[in-house]
Amino acid sequence: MNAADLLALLTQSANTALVIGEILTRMNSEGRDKATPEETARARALAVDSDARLSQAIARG
Amino acid sequence: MQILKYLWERRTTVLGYIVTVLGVLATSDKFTESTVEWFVLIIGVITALLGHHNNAQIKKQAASPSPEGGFVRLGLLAMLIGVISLVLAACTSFVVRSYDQKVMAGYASVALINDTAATLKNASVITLGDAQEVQRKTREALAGIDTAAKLTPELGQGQLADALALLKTAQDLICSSRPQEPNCAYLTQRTQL
Repeated sequence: MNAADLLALLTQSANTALVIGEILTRMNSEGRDKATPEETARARALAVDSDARLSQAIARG
Repeated sequence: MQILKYLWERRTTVLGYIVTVLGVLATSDKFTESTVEWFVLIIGVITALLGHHNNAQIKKQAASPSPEGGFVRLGLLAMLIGVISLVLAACTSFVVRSYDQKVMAGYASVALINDTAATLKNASVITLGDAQEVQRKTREALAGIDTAAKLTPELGQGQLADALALLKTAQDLICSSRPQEPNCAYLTQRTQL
């Protein structure tokens, strides 16, 4: 594994953790059990974007 | 900008606090051995870079030192904060309580598993077939989480549990045979599936 791959994963994983962590922290601090539609859409977008990245890796053969 | 200026003027103190926090985090039992190894590696590299830079700055600015002796440049400080942000983000555990939060964690797990699979595939650690199988599983799990997200906790609990179980099989597919591989150790710790 080269440094670029490692940095890409670290950055992307950290971004995922930051986004989810921010949403969960806000829900906890506001005492909410329910997520807003925007929060759900934002979390879902992480999963969809990651699928595209995996598709690119698969396309390389 | 005011905050940045404030931090910049107290950069040595700020750096001291940051290193202290990182040290406490690294020595707690919350993180895997590989995570702590990354802590040590990153902090070591940053410290060495700052040491070289500090020596160069002292030689250059001996005649007119800055209030804190020219400890770091803004670019280097930005890099330091960026790396520390990454490390802290990578080491923060999700605190999941409600049903909706489990849904959020499910989406995050899909993302983490996909990204790990992509990285391992790019590095030829896993085969093309494994990568395709992981994608098939994570897509099915994503559809399950989507369905569960639209249901009440009572109705969607089973669907969500099935999706998370599927994600576990995807994770195991790429990581069960290499649990010590750094990416897999990180993934296993973060997803907590």
